Amino acid sequence: MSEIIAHTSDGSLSEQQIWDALQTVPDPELPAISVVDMGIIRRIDIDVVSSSIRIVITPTFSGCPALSQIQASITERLLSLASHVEVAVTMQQPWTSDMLSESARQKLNKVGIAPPPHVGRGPLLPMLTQQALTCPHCGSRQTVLENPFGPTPCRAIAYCQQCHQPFEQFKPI
Amino acid sequence: MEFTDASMVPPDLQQPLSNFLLSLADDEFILGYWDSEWTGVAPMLEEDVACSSIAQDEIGHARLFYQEVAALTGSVPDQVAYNRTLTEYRQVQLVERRRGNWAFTCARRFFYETADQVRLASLTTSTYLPLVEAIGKIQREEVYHQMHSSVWLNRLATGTPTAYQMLTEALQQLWPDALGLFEPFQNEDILLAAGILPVPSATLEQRWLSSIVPVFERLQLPLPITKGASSEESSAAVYHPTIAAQLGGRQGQHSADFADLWDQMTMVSRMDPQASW
Repeated sequence: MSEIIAHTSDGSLSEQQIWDALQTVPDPELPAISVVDMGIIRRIDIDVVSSSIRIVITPTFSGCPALSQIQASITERLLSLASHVEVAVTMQQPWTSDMLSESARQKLNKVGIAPPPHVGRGPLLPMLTQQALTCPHCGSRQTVLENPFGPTPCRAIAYCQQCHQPFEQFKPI
Repeated sequence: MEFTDASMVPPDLQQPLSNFLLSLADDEFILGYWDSEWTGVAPMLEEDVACSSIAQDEIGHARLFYQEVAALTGSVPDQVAYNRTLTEYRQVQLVERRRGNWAFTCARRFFYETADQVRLASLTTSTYLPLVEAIGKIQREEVYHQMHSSVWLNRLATGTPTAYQMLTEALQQLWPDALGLFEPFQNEDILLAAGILPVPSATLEQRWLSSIVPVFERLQLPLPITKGASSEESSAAVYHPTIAAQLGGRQGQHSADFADLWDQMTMVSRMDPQASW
């Protein structure tokens, strides 16, 4: 996350306080995971003089229907720290599934969603269709991709032939 | 010269750029709108989910482009999307046909996705940087749509005789519209000169045909295209359509199907222009 920049014009409201507060704001479609662990926070600006915080976020998918809800939740949470909160959206440095934190990956696994394979700079599709997916329930790699589309834009549906459970696979994007 | 945001666009470029962005947005919006109709009634549950998801993506992409138009014209995306007369929409006619049967939907998606892939790739070098940023995001999502449409074209073409026949009929019906996919944009010369559009539509059409002709040949699908000998050193037209293209969408000429859709999708905003949702 080295590209993330936080600015403060004074020390009294710390960047860390804001990160801590944002850690308590869940992703509406994946409540186990915070907006921080989703990797969607691109920038934090603090202006202590006017008691303002400006957050810049980027959506996981451009058609994400939860975006306005995320903006509202962040605003509501941060209004306990400052008088003015703005949550802007950017498409610079578009989100990729590699931006999910390690903690997010573990939490996904716990709620039965296989975390996305790391993509790096390579093509996306082979990551989903040409290698074995790992079942989040039993860890088997004897799995089949059932549908590259699932209940939300970021999820695919797969089936484990070992434990005979369907599971959701977070799409590499 | 590069344009980092809407405020840098000189007045004489604003209208051509705005209409160009509307063309991109309306294509995605209208196709997304029709495809969303499969929600609940697709031939199988997986496709129900897939169509809904793809439609949602397309409408999301349209929203990104509408935001850019809104930034240029001092409006808001919802107004841009809904508050226009019929002839102010800029989509090609391919996307405005009713969804038809499943074969028709799959055939149309294949035409559209393959053309969109060629178009998006060419726009990554546009001088209008907000567009380049949006496309960086969109391309990663479209990968899944392209896979989906290719799988279905193959499946129907190599499936039962009925599937092949229905696909063939749909393709024959759609070819004139498909050849309108690369109808030049309004004021294309201005867009090209400014580098907003890096590659002329005629060149993109050739690139597109060179990507799909081998697929149609392999699957023995209707192909109203002849291949000319590639000329000397130039990359002049190699593929020649043997039928007329259905043009006019980019100029605001639309079909009766779109008139019905427009009536339906703008109904709420016309009844209550101040409504927010």
